[in-house]
Amino acid sequence: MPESFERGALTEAVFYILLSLHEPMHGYAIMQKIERLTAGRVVLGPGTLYGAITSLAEKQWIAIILPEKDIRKKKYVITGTGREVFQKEIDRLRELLSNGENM
Amino acid sequence: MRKTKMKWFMDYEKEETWLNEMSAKGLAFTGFSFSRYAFSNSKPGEYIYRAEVLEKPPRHSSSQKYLRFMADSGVECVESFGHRVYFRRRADMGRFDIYTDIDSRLRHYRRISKYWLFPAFIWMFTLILNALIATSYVLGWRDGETWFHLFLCILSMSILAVSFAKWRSARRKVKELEREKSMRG
Repeated sequence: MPESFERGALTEAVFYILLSLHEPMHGYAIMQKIERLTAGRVVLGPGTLYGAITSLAEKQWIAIILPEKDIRKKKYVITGTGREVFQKEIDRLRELLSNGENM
Repeated sequence: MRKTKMKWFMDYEKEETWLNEMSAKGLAFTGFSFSRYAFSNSKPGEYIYRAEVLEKPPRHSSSQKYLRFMADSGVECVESFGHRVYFRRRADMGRFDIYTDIDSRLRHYRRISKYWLFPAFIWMFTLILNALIATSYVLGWRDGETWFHLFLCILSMSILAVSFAKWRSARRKVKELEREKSMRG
């Protein structure tokens, strides 16, 4: 679990994973979505993504949707707790931005 | 067509770079055969190679889950050796790095340093043990093959030096990343 969780700020990877998982998605689709959203600025490596997904699932900020057939890929989706955390982060970022712009 | 090459690397990153250079020439690494690197022909630059040290050996269930995730992401596990795995992904799928943020890279280098510390301890123990035995022969406390134990001393000293150097280099990387992290948490 990245330390920055405790400080309240989400890492960029976690932020974009939570954002993407407002609809159920498998790992590779998350990577592609994040790359598209940031116009290629944030490209998540599969190892980084896997580590983040595992931590998020342990924290129950996201849930794993097991496929009916074993050959299908696992999908992930944000939980109620995850949505709350995500909303709090949006509020925090809004405060940051407005303080920064009012300089 | 298959081709094999004998090569010895002290440095993981250099090995990875070499595998990618071979891939650029149209020789795709397919695994080890009798401690030689085996390659098959491919289109030049068809694959990007990345190596990683896993927390648990590849057969362990947690590593299996990870390898499954990698496979689902278009990443093929070509070979494994101890805790070390060799991945490749088609270059036309875009940039391929396993770890892309400071936290996960830090964890990877901590893992690497941990795996060098263990052999360093084992060989330090072997070195001390054989040095004591050889000394006891030289001093005439016991009879035995002094040269054999001196040979083992030199052998364990060399392996110890390699393990220690590898551990140091991984620790340096960890320190470097920790510094960077403190600025950009």
